[in-house]
Amino acid sequence: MNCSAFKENVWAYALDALDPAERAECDRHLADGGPHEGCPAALNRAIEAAGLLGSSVAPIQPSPGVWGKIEARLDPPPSRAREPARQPRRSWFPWAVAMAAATACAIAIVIGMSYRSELRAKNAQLAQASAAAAERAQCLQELEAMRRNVDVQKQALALLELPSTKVVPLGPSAGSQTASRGSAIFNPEQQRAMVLVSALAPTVGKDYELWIIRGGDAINAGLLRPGPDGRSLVAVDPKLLQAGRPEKFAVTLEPAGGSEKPTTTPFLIGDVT
Amino acid sequence: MEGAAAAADREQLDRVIRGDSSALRAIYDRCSGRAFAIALKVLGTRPDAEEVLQETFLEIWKRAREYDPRRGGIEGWVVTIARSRSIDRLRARGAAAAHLSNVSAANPISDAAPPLEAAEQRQNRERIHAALQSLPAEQRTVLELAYFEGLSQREIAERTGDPLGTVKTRVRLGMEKMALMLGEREGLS
Repeated sequence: MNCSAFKENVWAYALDALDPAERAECDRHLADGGPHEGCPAALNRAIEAAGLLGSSVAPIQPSPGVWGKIEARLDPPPSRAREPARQPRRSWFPWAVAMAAATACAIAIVIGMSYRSELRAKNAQLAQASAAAAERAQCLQELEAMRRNVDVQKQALALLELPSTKVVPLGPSAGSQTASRGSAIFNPEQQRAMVLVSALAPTVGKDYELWIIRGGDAINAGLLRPGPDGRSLVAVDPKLLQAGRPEKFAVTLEPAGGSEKPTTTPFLIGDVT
Repeated sequence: MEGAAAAADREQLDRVIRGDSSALRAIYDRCSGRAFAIALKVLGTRPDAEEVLQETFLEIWKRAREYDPRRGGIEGWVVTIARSRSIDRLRARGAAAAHLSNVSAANPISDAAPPLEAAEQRQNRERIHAALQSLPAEQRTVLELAYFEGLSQREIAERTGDPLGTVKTRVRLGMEKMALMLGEREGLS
């Protein structure tokens, strides 16, 4: 933006009637060292002219109690900028110099302590605000997770109600001692499936993984993350079902994050007959 | 701004900077009527306007050092802060507030008798009011929408249905005339 364009915009700038981008451009132009063709003067004049609009309104006295409320909220004003330290004159007596130095030290210590105290208070406020924000974010996250769970449950119920839906029971595979049980809710017409598994034991450093078995191949269908009640309900990606009808659903215990192919024998399995 | 008046303003604000609440009170006595009237005109309700008035003077207490006499006297500065805070509050309230503001603009609260306004101030205000009224209606409208409702030029164009370029021209022409009047006023004083 050049000076001419700024002066075109200066009236709206003074009225605060520019869009944020236009205003930022004007701010940048003003901040630019120049040389300017009368931009600061034009701005002052525009601000004063905008003030006339306010002067067109007749004054109205506020309620008598307003000043009292303001007075009650007056903090001590910000401390004044300190003047640069002056060099002591040679003619001063040494004790006066020492006194001045001691006083300066004392003032510096008091100011330093006051500043540190203010800083600590600000840091504490900031920490409190951060903690509150973190708690709020955590709460939102949990509520969002609950909402997602409810949505998934609704989807499962809707899928279950369809007449062409089959329920495939998932039980312990041969030799497995697991107490877990599950069901795959599978609709071949719509090529949709959801798997519900219960009594999954908590794991450390491992994850439960769901597989679709088709043509002797195990296809990764995602992780099962049980809640505190040991249940997990997941929707199978429909794309995995479009390639062909699954023959089995199976669950294995895999290293954390899951595996591309099963590294352990399925402990739960169900045949889609 | 006249030199003596500017010096008096500066001295008063210096006292505020030093923490003299009686100086702030003096500014309050002098400027609160107009600042409150602006807040009331923008916001439409006394409780809101009084809260804005409190915020305005607390801000002056903290920011007295930032006053720039080149941009007008103390009263103009106070009114500018009150208007900005009112617009912030209006924007925060959203559309309902805009509606309220329209109602208040249609029924100007400023008709209320200002008992403490000095004769000279009243004459000055009436002159400015008359000058504003003498602007072509479309120029006056855009200035009032910008100043009292805090609308940007783009928002004014959306509100009035006029092209943005036309709105910009009206803002510029209207403000140039106000500035001209400012020059005449300074010439008279």
